Amino acid sequence: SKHVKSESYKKALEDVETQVAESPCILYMKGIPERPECGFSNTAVRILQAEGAVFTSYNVLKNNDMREAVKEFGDWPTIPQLYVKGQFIGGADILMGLYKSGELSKLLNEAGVVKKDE
Amino acid sequence: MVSVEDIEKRLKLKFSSEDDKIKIIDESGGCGAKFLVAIGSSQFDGVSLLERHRIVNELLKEEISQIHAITLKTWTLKQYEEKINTI
Repeated sequence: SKHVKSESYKKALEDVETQVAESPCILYMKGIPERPECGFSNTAVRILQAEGAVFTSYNVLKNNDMREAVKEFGDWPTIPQLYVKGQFIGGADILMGLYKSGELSKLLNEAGVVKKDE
Repeated sequence: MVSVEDIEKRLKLKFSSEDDKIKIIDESGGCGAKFLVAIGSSQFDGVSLLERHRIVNELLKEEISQIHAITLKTWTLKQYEEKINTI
């Protein structure tokens, strides 16, 4: 039943909480940045790369509990999901909107998760 | 099976004003059900992009859990007028 949380699911929720707290910038996606496995995750990766963001990623296809836990944690029904400094930023549509408006660049720079130009 | 009509019916629970704009495009293909949903409403005035999407995600909670992908455009009426022809 969806309403009875298994031990592995509870563990997944704790893991998401820990990962989000410990990672300055983390993207929950389908696949890995080098090989996204859905269009929306691909979009999210390309946006972050275009911004020069330093980010970690978690491939939710490897663990279904994590895939569902992150949706509950972020109160967001889809993957990908971006978290910066512990804050949920959004999914692919939000990232595209923020990218186009320039707000994402500002947000990432203020969070200190952008590669310094050399 | 989720349809354009199902989604529209749910959206109209909140976006029921005569001024509100709703456009839903069924983009389903080989991967499964996929929709583009564009909404124009004064209810989005002064509301952050994230919160706008949360409002729609909540309305479409059941539908989103059944389909492969959804793309949302949550616009003010002015934005809708300016951007609707770009999709």
